[in-house]
Amino acid sequence: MSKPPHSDSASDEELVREYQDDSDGPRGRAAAEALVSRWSARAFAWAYRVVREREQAMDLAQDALLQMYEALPRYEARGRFPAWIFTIVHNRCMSAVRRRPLTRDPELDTDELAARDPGPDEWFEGTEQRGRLTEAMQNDLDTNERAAIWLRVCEEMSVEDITRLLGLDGASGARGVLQSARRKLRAAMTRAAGDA
Amino acid sequence: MTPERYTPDEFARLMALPDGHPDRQSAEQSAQFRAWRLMLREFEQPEAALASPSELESAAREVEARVARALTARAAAGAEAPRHRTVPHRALVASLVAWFRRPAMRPALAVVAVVLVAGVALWSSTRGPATRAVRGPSEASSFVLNAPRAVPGGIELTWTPVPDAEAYRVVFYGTDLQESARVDGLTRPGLLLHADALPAGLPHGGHVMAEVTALRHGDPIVTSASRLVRLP
Repeated sequence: MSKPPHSDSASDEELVREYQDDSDGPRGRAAAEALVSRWSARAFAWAYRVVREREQAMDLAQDALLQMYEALPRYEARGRFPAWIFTIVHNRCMSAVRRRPLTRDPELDTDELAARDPGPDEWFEGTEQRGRLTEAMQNDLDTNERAAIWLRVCEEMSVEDITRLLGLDGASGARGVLQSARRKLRAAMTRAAGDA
Repeated sequence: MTPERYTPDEFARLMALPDGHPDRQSAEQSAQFRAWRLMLREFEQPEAALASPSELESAAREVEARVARALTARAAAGAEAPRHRTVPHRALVASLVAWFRRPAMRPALAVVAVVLVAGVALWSSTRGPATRAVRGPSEASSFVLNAPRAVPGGIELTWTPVPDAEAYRVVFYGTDLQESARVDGLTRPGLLLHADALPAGLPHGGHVMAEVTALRHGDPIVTSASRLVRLP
């Protein structure tokens, strides 16, 4: 791909502006291609983290970058660009994972977090239950527990990945945090059911 | 479970706010925001995902080349795309939806729902066990959604026929990566999209991602890679 002048040193926002100024011309296209080139490794790496399969990760990264390209005309500079592209990539990956139930979560069978019922995943299903769960997460869990439960249940992330993300170095890693959070949520939900 | 997700603009805006901003402080209290902030930090360090930096580099270059090819194809398809037209069927669909939403229709709809559920249950019990096939690399790579072809009044999507398939499903995704529309029950390897009869949810003249899935007994056999499509 050809690169626009100073594309290596230009910020993401400058490249977006260059694209928006000349979206149908060669300068705009080169700026967009520079953005694709700059973010392709991160897009692929994230997709690979989610699906653990090289070919599918490349498909997803390609889709996400095309999506980015399509959305560039509407990008507003008041946001932080890495967060913007990350959201595109992650949402694309998660929609692919949801449509692949057979291989969706290889840890599910062995993970105590998801083995018993009812669990947080089921609690998210109904609107009323979801409201109670959100309240319990807010009131009864600390910030690490909240993030761990969200990553596990909503982002379908492995326990090992959550351990790394939260910077946990204890023997049980995120597993201990998740089990503690689960116990607290179960107690809160039981209390709420009793009050109702 | 379908948690609501941040849109790209929303998350980018929150991340750009200073720590003391009320919106940022409020966001910091939510499990989702904290989880996403941690994920973003990880996203910005791609080296941790793969053991070999050279493997990451080669995959990234391949992705880049694919995007370039797709954009070239898009430019060619865009040059051939027909002009927009009016959408008379949308008003009809909207009035039908409003009619079905009237309170007087609720008992009738409840009866219809019960009959449908009973029918599906009966059908499921009489149907043999599904032979679910998982997409394999070789099968997937040979199942291709072709570049859209301009036809009078619209475009045609075609794809590689799958011998075992009983039907095909085409799903369209919008720029927010949410599903915009789907067309089920296609028995031939093609779909005509006429400008005056687009499926509800598809924007005239807009770009969407499309992908096709081959089905047997209602179960997916193989799904194509997504393709960017400019709608008529």
